[in-house]
Amino acid sequence: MKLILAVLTYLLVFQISSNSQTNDDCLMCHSDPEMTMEKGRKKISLWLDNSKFIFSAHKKLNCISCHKGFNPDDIPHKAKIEPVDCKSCHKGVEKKHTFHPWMSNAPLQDNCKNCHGYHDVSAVKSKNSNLSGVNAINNCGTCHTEIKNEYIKSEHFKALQNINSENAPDCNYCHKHQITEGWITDYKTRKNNQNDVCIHCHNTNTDNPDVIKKVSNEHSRHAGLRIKGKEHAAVCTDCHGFHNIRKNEDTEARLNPKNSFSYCGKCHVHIAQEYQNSIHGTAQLKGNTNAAGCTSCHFEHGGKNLQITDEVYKNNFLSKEFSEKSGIVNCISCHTDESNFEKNKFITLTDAHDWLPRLKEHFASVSCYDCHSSYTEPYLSHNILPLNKSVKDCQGCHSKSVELKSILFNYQKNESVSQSGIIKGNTKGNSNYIGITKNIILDYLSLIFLGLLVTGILIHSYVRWYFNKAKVKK
Amino acid sequence: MKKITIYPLWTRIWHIINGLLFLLLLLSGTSLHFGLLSLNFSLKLHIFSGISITIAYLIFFAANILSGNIRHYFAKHEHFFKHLKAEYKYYLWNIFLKQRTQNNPEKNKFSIVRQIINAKLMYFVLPLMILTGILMLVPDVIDKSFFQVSDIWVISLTHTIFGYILTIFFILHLYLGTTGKKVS
Repeated sequence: MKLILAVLTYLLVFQISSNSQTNDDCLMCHSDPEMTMEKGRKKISLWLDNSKFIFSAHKKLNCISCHKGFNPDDIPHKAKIEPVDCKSCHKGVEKKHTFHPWMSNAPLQDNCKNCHGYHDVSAVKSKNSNLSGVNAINNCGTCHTEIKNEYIKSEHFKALQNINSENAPDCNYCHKHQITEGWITDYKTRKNNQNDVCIHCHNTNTDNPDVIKKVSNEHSRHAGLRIKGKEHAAVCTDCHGFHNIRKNEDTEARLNPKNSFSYCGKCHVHIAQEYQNSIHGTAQLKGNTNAAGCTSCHFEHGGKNLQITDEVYKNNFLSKEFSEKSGIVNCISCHTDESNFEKNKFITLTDAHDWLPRLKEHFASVSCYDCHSSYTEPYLSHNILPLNKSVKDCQGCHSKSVELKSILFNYQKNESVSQSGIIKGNTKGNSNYIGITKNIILDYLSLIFLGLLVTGILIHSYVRWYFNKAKVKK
Repeated sequence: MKKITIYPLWTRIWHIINGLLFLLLLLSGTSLHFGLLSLNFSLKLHIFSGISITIAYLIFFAANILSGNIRHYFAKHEHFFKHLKAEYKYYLWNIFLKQRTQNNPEKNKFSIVRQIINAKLMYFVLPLMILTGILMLVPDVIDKSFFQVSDIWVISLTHTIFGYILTIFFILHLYLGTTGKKVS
């Protein structure tokens, strides 16, 4: 009986002493910065910086809440010291961290503390958190070094540094959503999510004052295709990239004219091939960064506010209505910009087309690329030709319709008369008679009729011959 | 047998010239339309033949009135439909039996069918061919908005269609020429 009482008393005393172990008790020793222990050949610090701990998310917890099974009287306090198991309190960790899919099965020493920190652990939403703002970049970047190196060159990082607020995206801002394969393997949903994460901030209705570029799905051709169910149509990240997002003006930006064809060309393969052979593409490859790239002409998020004045249209005999309708405003904006004349050795539109009659009429009906892109397969109008190789196929164009045939016929007649006089000019064989009388239905009808006529004559002749023969026999 | 001169000498000369010029126009026109020979050669030949046939037509037109020969083109026939029916019967059947036509050349130079065809050709189709040809030669004289659509296209198409009609006539004319006892 005495023995039982002694054991119970010992256990009670021990438990009370254990449960009553306060942080102050621990800190009596562990507040010494020089306190270390040997583990194998490693010297491990046993110091707890209480100045950080008291601001941590765990400040209300006792040391023994995490460091379980420690006996303060034993040195070391536990025969085999195991890493703290955060998951004993933080349930459902896997669901929150599936962008790190390996985490659910990771050994304890490789998980939480590596990202969330040790005794200075903060709530993720806290500005002091290792996983918030610039801290997150450095923290995540310890493993994801390449991504960090890309990200720190991005516009998002600049914004993060400047405002370091919830208005600028850090790692978690995007990665808390289901945007990576770790989260979700369904391609369509993942791409839609990637798009939505960007659009969440960059939409035209956003209240975020720090968002510079605001776009609308309604004005995006790719978004329009996605809405129609084309799941392979590009989302924001396909063009702008993921971590290294820069302004298009930045020469390193994916969508800078200098680089755009490489990225647009991933989907638009044949167009990119044509572009590479074009005067713009070859100039870019030679290092002329002023040469037009995909994004110089194609504005995915709606029309760029091009500065083409009515005077420019008038001075160059251009039709504003046709130019806007046919999309050649992009060509005009560069090729009428006087600053480009010297820099890029441009000549005025009127000088470049001094051979072309009725400039105003042509500029009101023919697009730049109708003549300035090569007529070789696959006919995608992106192989813009240099001036001396541009197509001057008057006959080709003017044979496409009766109206055009007539215009060329009349023009050539007038030119001929003005050069050679009325008689010689009108009788010279330089007018396009061939084609103007052409009418495929009429041609076929005439051949059929001629065939019938000849057949009829042959039959008639035969009958005549037959009767004549019969008459002679009589 | 009494020899009846149906066609005076000037008509015969004009007829031969007109036929030869039409042949040249047909060949050069076909070449222009289908691009068979050199454009320059075909066009020059077509223009030369066209101007020549126009002059020949003007001479014919004037001489036909002055000589009174025009009356044969617009002569009135007694029992028109009866004779018309008989002529069709001739061309479709009696011609094989080597029967003579119902027409009396002393009374009417042209039979009814030939009169209708000749009158239409000489006073409608050929003048229209000449007119459209001149308009194609000198297109500036056309009021650009006359046909609403492309004027030169309407003109050239009319020229082509009537060219086909004249060609059919030309072929039939040559063939029917072989149905008599002598070509002349």
